Amino acid sequence: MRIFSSRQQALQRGIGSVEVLIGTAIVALTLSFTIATVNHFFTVGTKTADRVAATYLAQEGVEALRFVRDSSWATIAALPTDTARYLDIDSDTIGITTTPEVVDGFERTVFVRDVYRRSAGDDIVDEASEVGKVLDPNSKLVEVSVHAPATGVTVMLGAYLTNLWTE
Amino acid sequence: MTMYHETDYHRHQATRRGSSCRGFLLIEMLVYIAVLVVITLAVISTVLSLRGVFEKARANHLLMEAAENSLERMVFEIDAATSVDAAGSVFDVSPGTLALIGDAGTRSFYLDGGQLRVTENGADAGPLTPPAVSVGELVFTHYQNAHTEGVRVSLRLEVTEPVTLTKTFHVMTLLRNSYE
Repeated sequence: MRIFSSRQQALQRGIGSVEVLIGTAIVALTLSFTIATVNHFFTVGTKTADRVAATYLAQEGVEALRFVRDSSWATIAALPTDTARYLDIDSDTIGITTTPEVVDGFERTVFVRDVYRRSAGDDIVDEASEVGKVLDPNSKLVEVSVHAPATGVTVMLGAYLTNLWTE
Repeated sequence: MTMYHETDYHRHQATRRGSSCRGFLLIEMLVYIAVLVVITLAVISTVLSLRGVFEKARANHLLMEAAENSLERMVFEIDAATSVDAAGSVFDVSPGTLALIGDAGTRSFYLDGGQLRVTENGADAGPLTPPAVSVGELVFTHYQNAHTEGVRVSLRLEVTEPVTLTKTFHVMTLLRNSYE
């Protein structure tokens, strides 16, 4: 009889405050994790959109520099190495300037690096390499960096440009 | 049931049982209802918030897909072209038109009803942007020097349903077959 009585009491006493608190905490945690996860996906989606736009801008930068090379190798060769420069694109010409460039909120920067080749052969080697190497005055490594301050996305593309027209 | 009244033990049990059957106090009911209301509001708010986020994500996806389809096609055709048909093109204004001449024939990109379309050898080859995405601006800029030609494309895409989203893309490509 005592056992029966206890069971009946347990069944009839309803939900206690502790159960309510635990239930509420579980629901709150589940909601919080769900919102955080979805917000994370949305942030990633927004960054992806910026990454796509930045990649096209970087690609445009490399092509613009290739066009500058085709116009005059001397313009590329005269640029200071390892120093930030910027593209100056208008409706008629493409040039290189010291004035920072911002395109639809994206900051685009250009760097020109010297190119070294192995003395024995033409392989390109790093500037810090200790193998025998010589500076190639007819080649430059150009790097275009595009940065979106709003989302922190940065894309960088590089390409070797050569004095194709042997000016 | 009469045995509950026969001994002290059973009388005591009956009293406790009566106490356990008293139901909820008013204050307990108020607390539980308040908790239930808060949870319900939180769930509704979350569902509405998630819906908004998913709509933005969907619009973002539509925009990216349209941008990549359009720009990749134009970059491919510009890259493969031998020259730009300046007479058939409209440069530096929106909506612009780009007419290309290549080994595979002619290609033309233009706007019609807010959609970017392409023609192949004079025949309409269909839209490059889906109906849900409209082109707000399309500008082609032509560059030329002694050795080559290049085209810069500025494309502003807009999604208005279910949410408004706008993004501008710029890309430039040299005509690889134009090198002399």
